[in-house]
Amino acid sequence: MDALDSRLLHYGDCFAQQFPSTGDLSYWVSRTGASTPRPDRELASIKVVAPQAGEEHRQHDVTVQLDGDQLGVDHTSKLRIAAGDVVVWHAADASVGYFAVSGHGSNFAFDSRALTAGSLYTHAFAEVGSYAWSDPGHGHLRGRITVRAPEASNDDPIGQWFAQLCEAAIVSVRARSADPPELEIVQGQAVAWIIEEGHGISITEAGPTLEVN
Amino acid sequence: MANDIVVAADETAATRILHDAEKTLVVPTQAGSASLAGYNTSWSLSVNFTDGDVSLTPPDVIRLANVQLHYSITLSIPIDLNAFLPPICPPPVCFPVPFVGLICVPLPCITWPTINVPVSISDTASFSADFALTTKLVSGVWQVEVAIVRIPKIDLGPAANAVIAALGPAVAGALAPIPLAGIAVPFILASISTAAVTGLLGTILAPLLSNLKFTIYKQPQQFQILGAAGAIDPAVFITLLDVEAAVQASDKNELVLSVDI
Repeated sequence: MDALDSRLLHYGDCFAQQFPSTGDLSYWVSRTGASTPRPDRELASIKVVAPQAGEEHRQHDVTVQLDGDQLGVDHTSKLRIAAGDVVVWHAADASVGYFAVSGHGSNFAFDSRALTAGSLYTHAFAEVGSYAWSDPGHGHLRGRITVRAPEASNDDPIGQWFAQLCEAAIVSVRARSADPPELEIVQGQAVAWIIEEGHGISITEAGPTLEVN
Repeated sequence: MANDIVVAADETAATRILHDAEKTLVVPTQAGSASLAGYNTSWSLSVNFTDGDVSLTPPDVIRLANVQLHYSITLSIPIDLNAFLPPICPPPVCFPVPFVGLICVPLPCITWPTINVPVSISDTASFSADFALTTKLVSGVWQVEVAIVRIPKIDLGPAANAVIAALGPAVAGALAPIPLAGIAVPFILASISTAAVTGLLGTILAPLLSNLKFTIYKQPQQFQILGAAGAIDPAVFITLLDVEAAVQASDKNELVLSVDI
């Protein structure tokens, strides 16, 4: 569960994308993140309509699941959303394996392997440890997540732990910087990397790095 | 026809012979796996024997009483914690996102690992059993052995209690690195009864004891009676054509070796 890599989503990860403008989009969920769909695969689709006056942005959840041995989603018809709404994709369970989400319309494209402004990636950390992360395509974008074990010293350790899991741990990504660069969380907690500026960003566990000045 | 050589040992001498035979018996460490209360448990066992009193019963039974079986057993018990703890499924977590407001995402359920609980005990048990005399010629060496007639009854209760006593700290130690899993300790301990441990120990020891034999006499068939005294005076050997062992009653019961040369 702890493969930290936004290019390879799996159970415990979420990818969310805001759709800022109206139009029709096709998208697919693939194991390898192939850029073109197989001709025999039925694509999923999203219709983005103009929002009603005063309407607040909404979240639309899509579950990625196995249909036989193929990846599929839990909506069979065209997903209808308003401009400014967010669609959140996540795996139903561990049997889904690794996947990527990508799609395009006449005036908008998105890809979970290359995050852009208006998207976010979440990852739940199941193992205690220290995780250095970076964007392989943008050397200055990096940080560290420290995961500690939950404390079991009071009368309600499960309740205390759940309360900690509900705390939002956020890394705001603005082009080349991450805020905060270092974050400490409890085991099982999820971190959300919110892409506020930039494009083509991916979040991966860092290997040995070469400092470039 | 009368035997050429006859050697006899009374029960006192036979006891000393047995004790010497116990010292020379080397039992390789045994290993395997067996069920302990449904857990497929790996085990290793080392043993040695000491003491015991010999009583001789014609024509060929040697009863060994109160033989001390010294053993060390190491168990590795695999326990799937998911059998004792429910998966932890946290509620969704919500993130304030500048461009849209609050986004809530599900968190995965956390399942528990399988742990291996190591338990080691060393103890001594005593047993009494009848052994039968056998003689055989193996690769030019006469061997007289006493082989156990049937598996003796051994009280494994104290050993089982020792395992149960060791199990508590062992389970607690195995769970210590896993946050919040310590609540499973009493449930795990309750799943393993003394009777289950006794059954496992019996399963481990029975094959070893069913094949138990001590070699009480060994002699090359070519028996040297005189050493060499020079280049033209070589060593002198006689051939032991036949060796028989039995228990004979005279004024007292004796272990008798009869040899034809």
